[in-house]
Amino acid sequence: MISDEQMKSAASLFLGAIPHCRILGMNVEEVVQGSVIINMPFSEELEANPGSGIIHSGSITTLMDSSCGMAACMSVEGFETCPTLDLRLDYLGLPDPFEPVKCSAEAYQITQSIIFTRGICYQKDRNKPFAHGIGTFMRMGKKLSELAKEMGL
Amino acid sequence: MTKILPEFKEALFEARSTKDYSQLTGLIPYARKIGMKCQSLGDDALFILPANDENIGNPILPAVHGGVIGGFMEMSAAMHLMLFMDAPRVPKVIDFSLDYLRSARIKDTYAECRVVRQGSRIANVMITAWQSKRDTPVAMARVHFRLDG
Repeated sequence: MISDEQMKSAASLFLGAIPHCRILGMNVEEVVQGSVIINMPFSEELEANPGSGIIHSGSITTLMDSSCGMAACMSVEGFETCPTLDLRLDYLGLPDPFEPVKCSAEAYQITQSIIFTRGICYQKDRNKPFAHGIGTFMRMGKKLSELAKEMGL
Repeated sequence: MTKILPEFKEALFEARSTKDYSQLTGLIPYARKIGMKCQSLGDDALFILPANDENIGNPILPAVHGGVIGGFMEMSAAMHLMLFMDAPRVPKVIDFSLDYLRSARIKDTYAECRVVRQGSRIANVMITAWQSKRDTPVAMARVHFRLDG
């Protein structure tokens, strides 16, 4: 059984290998019993309106996709790669300006071919989410390490 | 978006009257970050996300990050509304639903929008994104916007 700490290191390595997540400064904050929390710092480069301090919903979509995707990969033994089938986001309100945002995601159903995930985005208080999302992922049946070997990496 | 800045409003009205949409994306930090562009296409607008290594989400394939494709489509839909609404108002995303159909390779991605329904308070916009051919889309999405004054 892999501990949450080991899972967190694996998730951090995995996230760090994704160029766009690295560029947005995402980092794995916590892994607890299969759910993952990813943190994204505020950056004025992500604003919708210059100077507003409010990041564009597009970067929230990226955070949700990455977090739900991470939860999906973590939910099966050996980190399978799971492409996103679909993603749905509900914007419950605006995030507070100039503050980092977090996304907490979990896989709530795993079948032989599909992984169902859900996530929330919040800032200081996880009981006050500003966005809610669900993502459905396809199982490729291939572990990341096998895929990397096949590609000669 | 919270409110339209005077500078952006001016550029928007200019773009609406001249049909030159090239200056708009440069005024929005997130659009600049992912490198998206907008150009007129007859009476319509075409949105372009040029190939950019910074947008990679899967380095093994390699493929564009699904979230970037989503952000690009959301931004396209909002800009499309602002360009073509009778009286431009600020669209605010209520919800967003996105179907991924193919992995988006590291090449230019295009998006086109269609306003399915625009009422006085809500707009429903469909977005199609493709790379090589328009009839083999990489993703399709739908956004509901709240329209504020």
